[in-house]
Formats: sequence, C-alpha cells, structure tokens
Amino acid sequence: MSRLATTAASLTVQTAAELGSHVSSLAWAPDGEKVAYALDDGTVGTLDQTGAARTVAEHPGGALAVDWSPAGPLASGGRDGTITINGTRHTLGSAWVERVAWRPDGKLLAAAHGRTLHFWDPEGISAKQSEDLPATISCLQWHPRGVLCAAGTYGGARLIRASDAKVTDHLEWKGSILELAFSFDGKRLAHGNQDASVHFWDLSKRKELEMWGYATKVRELAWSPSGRWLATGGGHAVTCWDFHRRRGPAGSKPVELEHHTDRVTALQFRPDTGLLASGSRDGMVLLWKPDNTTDVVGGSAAPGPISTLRWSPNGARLAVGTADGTLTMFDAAR
Amino acid sequence: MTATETQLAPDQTQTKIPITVLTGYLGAGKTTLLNRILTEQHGKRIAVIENEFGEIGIDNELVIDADEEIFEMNNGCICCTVRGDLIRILGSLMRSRDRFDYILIETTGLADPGPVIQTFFVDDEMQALLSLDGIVTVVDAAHASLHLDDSHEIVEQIAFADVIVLNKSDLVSAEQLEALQGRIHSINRFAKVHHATNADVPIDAVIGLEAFSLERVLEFEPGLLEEDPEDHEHDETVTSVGIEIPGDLDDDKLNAWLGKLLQEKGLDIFRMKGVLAIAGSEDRYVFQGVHMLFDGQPERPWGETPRSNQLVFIGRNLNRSELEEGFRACLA
Repeated sequence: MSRLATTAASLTVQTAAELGSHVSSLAWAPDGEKVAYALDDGTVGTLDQTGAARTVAEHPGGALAVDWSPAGPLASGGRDGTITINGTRHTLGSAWVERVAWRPDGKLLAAAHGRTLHFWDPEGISAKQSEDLPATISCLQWHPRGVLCAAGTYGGARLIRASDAKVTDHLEWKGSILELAFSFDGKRLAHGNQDASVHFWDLSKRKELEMWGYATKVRELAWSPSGRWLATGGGHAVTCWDFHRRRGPAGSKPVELEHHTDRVTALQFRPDTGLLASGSRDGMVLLWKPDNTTDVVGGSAAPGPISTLRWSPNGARLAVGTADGTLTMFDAAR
Repeated sequence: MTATETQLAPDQTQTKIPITVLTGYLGAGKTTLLNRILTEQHGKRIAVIENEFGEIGIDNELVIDADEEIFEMNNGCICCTVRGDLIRILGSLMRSRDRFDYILIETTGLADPGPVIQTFFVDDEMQALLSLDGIVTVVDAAHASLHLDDSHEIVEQIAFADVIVLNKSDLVSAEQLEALQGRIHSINRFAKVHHATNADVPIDAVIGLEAFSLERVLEFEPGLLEEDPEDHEHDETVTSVGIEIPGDLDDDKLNAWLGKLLQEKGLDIFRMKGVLAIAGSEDRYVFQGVHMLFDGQPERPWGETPRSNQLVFIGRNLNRSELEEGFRACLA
C-alpha cells in the first residue's frame, strides 16, 4: 500500500451531470471544451464546461461507442446496428456496432459491426467493408500512422488496410482478445485478454511476449506517450510494464501501483505529461507518475463505479463516466 | 483451470439475474415453450438470447441474436470452452440491469450445452452478476423415440437437464412414451420430466428452479440413489450413477480422489452433485459440478440425522464399481 506522495497533482470538479444511464464511452471535442458520451439507454450527447448536456443522436437499444474526430465530426455506434456521423444515421446491418474510431487525421471512421470492419468518410458518402472475420470484433484501434486499423477477435488481431479494407496481417493468438492498443510510435501492439493475460507484439521484429498472472480478464490498457510504460488493469492493481529496460519487459517484474480497493476499470495516460489516471469499480480516480514513484500523486472520487475515463487532448481536463450514469469533468491543470 | 481452484461461489453483494438455458433438438418445440413463457403473466421482464431463427418468431422487445461463438480458453482445456458471444452480450446487457429481470438463452438444436453452462462459471463478471437457474431440455417424444440411439446431441441435452419437457407426447403410443421415459431415466435419473403436447407446462416448472443453488442439492429424493439394475448394460452410453455410503469422509482423501477423477474423467462427467459428511465438520458439505468445474460449501448441520454421503454422477462411460470403490476409499 502506498502513501500519498507530496508532489501532488490535483483534480478539481469543474462540472458534473446526472445522465441517468451507464456511460459506455466518452470522447473529447478537439478543442477540449466539450465531452461527448454514449449511454446504455441509447443517448449520445455532449456536455460542456458549464454543465449543459445536449442530446445529439439516439441508438435505440443502447449506444455503445462515441468518437470525436480531430477534424470536427462526432461519430457514434450502437446496438441498433447503425452509426451516426454528425447526427446522420447510416445502417450497417443487424449486428451491434460496439466500437467506432476515427483515424488519427480524422478523415476516416472505422466501425466494428459484428464480424466486419467498416470504413466511412466523414461526409458519410463512401464506405468500404472488410471480409467477415471468423469471430466478432471486440475491439479496434488505429495504427498511429493511419494506414492500418487493428481489430481484435477470438483467435488473434487482424491488421486491416484502410485504403481497400483488406486484411494484410493476422497476429494469430489462441484466445479471446478484449482490448488492444498500439504504442505511440506504432511499433508495438498490446492486447488484453479474456484469460487474464496481456500479449505484446513487436511488429518490426515480429517478436511476441506473453504476460500472465492477472487476477482477472484484462480490458484496461494504456501506453505512456514516452513509450516507456504499458499500464494494464485486470485486478485491483495497476500493473506497468517497462519498455525502457534494455531487454524490454521480458523476464522482468512489472511495477505494481497499488492503492485501489476494487477492480481497476479504466486507465489512460495524460497525453502531454504522462500522468496516469486510473479509475476503479468503487469510484476512486487516482493519478500516478510511474516514472518517479509508485505512490499515488493525486486523485478524487466519482459518485459511482467508474466505467470509463478520458483526458482532453491537451491534458487540461479529465472526464470520468460511471456505471450509474454520472459524468464528471475535472480540471486537471497543474 | 483446475478442479479444486475454480470458485463457483456467489458474490452476495447484489441480487443476481437468473438465467434459464433452453436446449432441445431442432423442431422439438423450444420456440413454442419460449413463447409460452414470454406470454404468461408472470410479471417478469425477460431478455431472450437466441442463436437461430426458429420456425415461429419470438415476440419480445428484448430478443438478441447471438452468434454462438464457442471459445476455448487459452489453456486449451476443453472443459473450459465457453460461449464468448454470451460473455460479450451479457456483460454489455448487464450495464442496465433494471431493464429486465430474467434471461432466457435458447441454444441451437445441435448445441452441446456444456460451453453455455461453463460460461457462467469461468468468467468472474458472469458469476458476479448472473445465476444459472436451470437447464430445460425440450424433447420431441416422437423424434426422440427413433433417434435417441444415434444422436449424441439429444443424449447430452438430456444428460445436462434439470427439467425435461417431453413434448408432443400425444403423438406416440403409451408404450412408446413409457419406453422413452425409461431411457431418459437411465441417462439422467435426476431431472424432472414433464409430459406436454404443445409445450404446455406450468411456467414454474421451467423457470425459477434454482437448480444450481447448493441448497437445492440437499433435496435429493430418496430412491434416486438406489442402484439401477440396468446400469451395467449401458457402460458405453450416458448414464446416471448414484452412490450412498454411511459414515465420515476424510477431507484430504476426498480432495485427492475427486481432483484426480475430474482431471481424468472430467470430459465424460456432465454433471455431478453430492451431500457429504466430512470428518470433523458439523455441517453437511454440499457440492455440484459441471465437467471439471466444481463448487461446494457447508450447509445445514447434520444434527440428529445419521451422517452419510450421497454422490451422483451423470456422464459417459461411467464405471459404477470403480466410482464406488474410489469413493469408499475416502472414508475416514
């Protein structure tokens, strides 16, 4: 158990809203002034810093994903099998749309619809879709350079080329992938798995590494902007693997950040400073600086079990959503 | 996953949503039963997860099509194959728990019920939020009379069941029905069998069974444990074996024996239940298992009741004398 370090980072509540339904997904506007949310009751909306919430789309049966393009448009997906781009609806089919993600340049949207990955342009005019993968896509993430998008399923991760929606690579792994994340330089891909493990791929050297020993399935993954740390959940501790060791994490013991008293449910590094925010099922939000200390450097509380958290693009704000439908916007400036 | 380490223990902090798994061969009448359950005035909001469109549609606002994605966990143990689609869908649906209060899962006609059941025991989130209420198997009396010997799916569906709805029983003669019932009894002596003509069974005969609650294990009916003279004739098929031995068991011996048994025979053992008297313990130890997954806890003191041990297996290639011998060797 760690002490509260003296070099505290602060979180002060800027505004909070009762949205009334499980917050499934959050995404910040490019200017960091508003945060968009997808709720389990189907609502997609935005919250600004004055606390004004505005509904912008609906997905009957449940909204599952939201993402805000750095170029402007807001996209969402849900259990109704549709996506919306700036409020305009496009039907992909009957399967759930569980994930949507804008390419880093904001000019192409990837949407996971059952076993297929769809690509849409921001105008909603042209669309391409991948072949049917052998299993439902549970997670997706763009490669930082935007040429490829990775889709995780049972049986491995597939790299799908944006230009023609063709599967160009299959990182075969026997098990069910729940979340995946590219390092900021795009050289590594990590995935968290149903069977309480994390798997890494070094894409340039074609090497792989498996990390076992988590308490439970791992759905929480976050790379530090420096590329040094991969922070993972999968239990009450935040487990950080150090990639700046000469041999990488192979054979090493990870740094364990222990202060949560319940399951860690959300993780993200602040994009500008590398401050790590973690949220847990008992509503605790904690801040860490794994570069310096395993002690907690700051924190706050949310009014319910944390379902997701997101830093604003410039790192000045942190949005925290809960399973019981609250959204809190924290001011995190120094 | 090993036999002794797997915890099926419930999380007591919140009420769990019960789940009924509905199995049965194609055309047996699963959808008819499903619609009967949905239209009955029971005051429950039921979510239905189905894998195929039946010949009759289901009219419910919460019907979700699943893909029946059977996952093998990475350790490669076939007893830990689960339904990955269910983990995903149920995990997602449980975000808004107030939307419904019962879940029915309809499996495809050819499905092995094992992975569906195991799903609720190997995923900690499923375990914490949901409780398996029971497995209901609809059997087409006319079809099963003809195909029971050449369809291992029907046999397995019967073997896993807590309740069997012997449907379309009006389409066979009384003799055929009796023969079929005898055959079902030899496979699974512990399931309750209800006759029906159009899946017309009382609703409380199929849902709200709490068949996987450990307390229910205490409700062994006398007579179920008696040896079936036909046991030996069915060595190669699926049978039930019940064993009762008076006296106290040695905890260590029992763990060693059960551990080894489940490791070696776990694949062949579909279900298992027991009420045991452990030396040094005042309480009855009750347990049940599905394949290699095992859950047990002390319940109710023995008091004046003579201490004794009851154990039942439903499985393939069960060797009664070997099981009995092994069990007897665990006596303190």
